[in-house]
Amino acid sequence: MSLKSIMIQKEDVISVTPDMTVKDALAKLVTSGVRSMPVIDSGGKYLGLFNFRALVGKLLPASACVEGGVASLSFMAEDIAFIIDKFEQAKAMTVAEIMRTDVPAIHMDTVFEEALLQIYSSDAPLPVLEPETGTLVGLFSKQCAIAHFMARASAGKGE
Amino acid sequence: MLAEGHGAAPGLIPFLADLGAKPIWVASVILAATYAVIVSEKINRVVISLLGAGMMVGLGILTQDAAIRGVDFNTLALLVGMMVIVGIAKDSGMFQYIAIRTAQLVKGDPRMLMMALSLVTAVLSALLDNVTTVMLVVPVSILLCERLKLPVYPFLFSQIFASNTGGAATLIGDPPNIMIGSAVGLSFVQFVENVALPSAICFIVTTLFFDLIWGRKLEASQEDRDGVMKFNAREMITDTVLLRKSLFCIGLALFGFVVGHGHGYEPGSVALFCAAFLMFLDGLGHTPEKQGEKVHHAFTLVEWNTIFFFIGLFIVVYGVEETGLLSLMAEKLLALTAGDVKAMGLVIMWSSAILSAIVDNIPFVATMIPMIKAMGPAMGGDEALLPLWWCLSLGACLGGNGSIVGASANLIVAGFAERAGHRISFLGFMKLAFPLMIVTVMIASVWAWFFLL
Repeated sequence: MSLKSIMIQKEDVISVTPDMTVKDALAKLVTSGVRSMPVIDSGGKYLGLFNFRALVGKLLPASACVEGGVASLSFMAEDIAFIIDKFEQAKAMTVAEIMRTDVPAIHMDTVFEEALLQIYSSDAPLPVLEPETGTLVGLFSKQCAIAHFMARASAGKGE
Repeated sequence: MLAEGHGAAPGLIPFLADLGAKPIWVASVILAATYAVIVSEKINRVVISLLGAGMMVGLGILTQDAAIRGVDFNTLALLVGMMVIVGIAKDSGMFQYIAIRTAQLVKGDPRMLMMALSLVTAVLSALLDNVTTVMLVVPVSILLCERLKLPVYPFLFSQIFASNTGGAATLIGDPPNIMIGSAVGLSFVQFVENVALPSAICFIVTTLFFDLIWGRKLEASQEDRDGVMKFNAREMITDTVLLRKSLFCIGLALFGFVVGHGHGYEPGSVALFCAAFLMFLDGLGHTPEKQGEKVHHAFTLVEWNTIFFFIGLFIVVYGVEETGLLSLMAEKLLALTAGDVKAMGLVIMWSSAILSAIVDNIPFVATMIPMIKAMGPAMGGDEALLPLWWCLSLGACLGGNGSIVGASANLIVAGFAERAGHRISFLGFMKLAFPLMIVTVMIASVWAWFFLL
């Protein structure tokens, strides 16, 4: 089963450019109602993903966000000013500075089961790329997967 | 040492024997090749040490029995025991608690904070293992720096030095000391009496130096300092019951190290017993399944790669020892220094320091131990060797500060710092660390000259 008919098609994907400010990207995130936006350059090449996790990774102390770091921040109670400070700084950055590059990318010919396994352990939708050029051709989200289950299940019943 | 038909040697494999190879040369080549590859860092050091050990047996230098005799199980038991204890204890959050409380004790003053965190690192490194100490203290230190908007580098740098100088102070503080103490049968108290003071002096000197070049220039806004004061350190303690059990067992282990020696209890037995006792306490009141999980978890916290690195090295070194290479080298060193203990002590200290800065100090110390032992008869008995052990200890431990690869703790700090976005460059670190390491070894030399040798 190819992902072509299951994924969100390129023309429907809401994306941002790397030179956009974080402030503008956040506004776009809120108005369009999506949770993640791929970062695409002028040639259509996929560069990274902009979402909540990308933003909050810049707001939390770095030593709490990495492997082997501080396990709990419950001791920092009543210290929101620190986070807001960092939010103000992050707003002025460009999308390229905070985007995530750790989300696994898949290809159009990745089988559905594999795509499902990948998204099972991912907190974000997976970019679907053209292998040679790295151009974004679509986005595979959890909603895509659920819609596909439902479509197949009801189709099965009808037969 | 090795006469034909020595019990330990099965004899070289026929192929090598036919070529006319002597065991001493084969063993030397294995040792040299093992060390060369470890230094090159092209292949994982654990794999290489085990391959070297395998060659010693495979080429007929050692039988399997002899190879096992070469392994110092007291060192391994001490390492495993302490790793289990600290591994369980850290889940209580006590080390982070200490770091946060320290920051509040100095009211978030950055200059004082840098010194205080160094002191905490040094003391913990002396009582526990360096790697664990920095693994627990460094993340909180970076977090405090972020909160106070301070540069992270001075804190990382000073804590690396603190962990190595602190570790040099006690029998259990640093792997070289564990190995020396175990091989020679030196007590916890003897270490404290002979090397703790020079280590403390080195710590004070380096800490004051760091204050001079970095500390006194650090500034944090009152607002940020207030933020740190508002931290609720108690929240860091995730498990009060576990905390009490852990502190009890750490105390018990230290007590055992101090008094055990006089009663014939080796540190390895003490550490493993205390580890078992802590696992017992930790499992109390839980179902057998849950206990199984806890024990499994405790043993996953042991750095098995380090343990097997030791095993491999012990065997490689035992191979060259059995073939007589090390006694040959000992004779050369005796001839070079004309048997003068002062000269020999300084040669040992300085060569340990320089080499430990460039290479991991563990293989070096593993080789030096049997070599120094071999000099015993010529120097007038084991008693006469005592000062040399202190020189080896001080040189190897302090030398660890010389570069980022000098000690495992340094690598842990650099690794975490990089993940958190603060890269420590190899040369950048060495430019300051190496000369500073030389200064500390000079201090240790003066101390050794007047009080040890």
